[in-house]
Amino acid sequence: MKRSLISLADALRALCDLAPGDDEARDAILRMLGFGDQSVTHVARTIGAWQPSSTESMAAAAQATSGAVTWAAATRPSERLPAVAQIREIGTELVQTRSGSGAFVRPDWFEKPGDVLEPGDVPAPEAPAPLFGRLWRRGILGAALSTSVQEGDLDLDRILDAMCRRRPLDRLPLLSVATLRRGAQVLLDRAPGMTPFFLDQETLVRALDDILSDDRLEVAYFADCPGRGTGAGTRDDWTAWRPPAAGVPVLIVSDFGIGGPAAAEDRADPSEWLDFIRPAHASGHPLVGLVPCEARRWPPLIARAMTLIHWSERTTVGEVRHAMRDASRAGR
Amino acid sequence: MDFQRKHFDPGAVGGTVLDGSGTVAYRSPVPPHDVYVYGTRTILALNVALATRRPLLISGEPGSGKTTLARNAAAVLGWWYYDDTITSRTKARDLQWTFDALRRLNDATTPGLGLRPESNYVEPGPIWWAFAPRTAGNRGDATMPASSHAQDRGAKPVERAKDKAVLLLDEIDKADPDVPNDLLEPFDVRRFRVAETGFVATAARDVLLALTTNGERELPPAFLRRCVTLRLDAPTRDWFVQIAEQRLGPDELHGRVADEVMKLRKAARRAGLREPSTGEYLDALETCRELRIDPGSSIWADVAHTVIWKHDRRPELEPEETGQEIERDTTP
Repeated sequence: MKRSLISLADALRALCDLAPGDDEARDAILRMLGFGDQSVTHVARTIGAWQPSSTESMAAAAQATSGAVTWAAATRPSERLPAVAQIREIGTELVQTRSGSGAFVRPDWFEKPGDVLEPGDVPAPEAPAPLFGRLWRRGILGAALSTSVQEGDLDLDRILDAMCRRRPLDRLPLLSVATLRRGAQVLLDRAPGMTPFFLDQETLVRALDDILSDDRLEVAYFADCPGRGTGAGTRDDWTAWRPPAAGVPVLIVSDFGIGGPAAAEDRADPSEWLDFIRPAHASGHPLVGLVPCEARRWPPLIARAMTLIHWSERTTVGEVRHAMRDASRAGR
Repeated sequence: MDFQRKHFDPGAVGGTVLDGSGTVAYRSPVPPHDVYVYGTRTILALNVALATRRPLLISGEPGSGKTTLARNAAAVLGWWYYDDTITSRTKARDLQWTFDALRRLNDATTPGLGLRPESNYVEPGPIWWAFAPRTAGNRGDATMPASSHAQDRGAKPVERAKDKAVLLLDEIDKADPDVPNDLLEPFDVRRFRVAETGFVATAARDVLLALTTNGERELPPAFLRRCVTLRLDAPTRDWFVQIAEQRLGPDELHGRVADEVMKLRKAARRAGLREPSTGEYLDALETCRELRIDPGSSIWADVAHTVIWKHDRRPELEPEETGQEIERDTTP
């Protein structure tokens, strides 16, 4: 029989089977089965430089550029299952509803009205929703940062072609498969035009940290254009951009000079961006830009030179895959 | 914590009950005769996984005994034991079977060799071995001559062997993000199809799947929901000593070496380096016993660096920790 997600039946099976004699054992069993707080923690990375808390004002956030911050081991919030206490109660009730004859007995809670929320029970407002929705985030970022490796199934077309031409095969041709093994370098734009998205950048780095190995994610900051200098620490410590290992994709999170004050003198123009993009491409790094502005506002020169993705809750995995396919065909 | 140790009870098969809390030490009769000290929560998690027939996902920092747990649990249960270490290149299919296409191509194109039946090029992976060793042995071809059978890579427990298996997939978080989800399918339906031959390998025995994670990246929520989760606590001084006593008998040296290891673990944590593990503690202990080195002697620092610390830079100890060392260094 096909078994799917951990279910209430699993919890009841374990509770009946192991007959816990105290609440501690009962709670431990339920937690191990994923009810209540998640017990598997993911140790988040330590990144250099600025990281505002959700309570900091945007103005303070915009000015802050220094101070290494450690993200402590973070317990993932429970996403879908009721709390341990609720299940323990449900489990007890379910056991009690079974009478000796097998007839259904209505438990007390069946007749009682539900609890009414008091004003003080209303939870505090949540942080802004991430620009890539939780359900699609993994798919979108995975599609944007995957690189291909020749480790798939046999490429029968190429083998057949070589054999028909009586050409010796010095290696076995394999089809390409996508992998995140190479990791990514992430460059976050701290220019004034990106100020409204600083918290989103923070969320984005956390999401990337979840899907890439710790040692495969490098995060650095820049202002206006990475060609002016990048670094993980304070702005004074930024140095010339250091490319990652060959083949590692570079994700640039920037407005590419679109946003910010209209009269900003520091704004990088498309030609300055091209001076950065071309050598980066030449050194074998796939460049992907996340732009929090609609495609119609993207500078055409930059959009032709590298892959740009709209950083928006409306962006879909299909759109990103399409953009990456186009980039691959165009040799970007 | 009170519960029935119905499915897994190391105390009932020769383990040593260490204290009133239900902690049990078990020395495996199977080489390499490792000793595992089971806390109550660990025993409970194994019982829950066996009762619900769910994979057991073991997390915890390096050195907390994740890998040893599965092997030792197999010995407690008297089940066969299989393992495989996941790397960033591992694909879910590799764990089921691999197909030697290169050898097949060579046989097909080299005069005098000739093509053999497809099953000859199939190599069973650890999941197949754990599921059904008989069909894994004949590579899914009942007519295959014994001379072409594959070798069982499992470790058989001693006399009381049962036809059940524990399969450890170590460091699942190292794999590409899709691998954990891809693994669930064969474990859900308890069978998989070998694409090249069409043979359907069906589980012929119960398998406890144990997976370990160092928390390097988040595991897919769908995967987590199917697992029983156990987070192992960081090793303590007492835990080290209990393991040493079970392996080597009582000796005051165990505690002294454990003190040194705990100091170096603290220093490593402060420096953000990998902390010395149980294996390194036992190596240090063996070194001290075999070479008659005292943890207070003048060459201890070099021994500790080589056997326990292992990082390029020297450990930075707190003043009180250094003070203890200096005091010991004065001992003749």
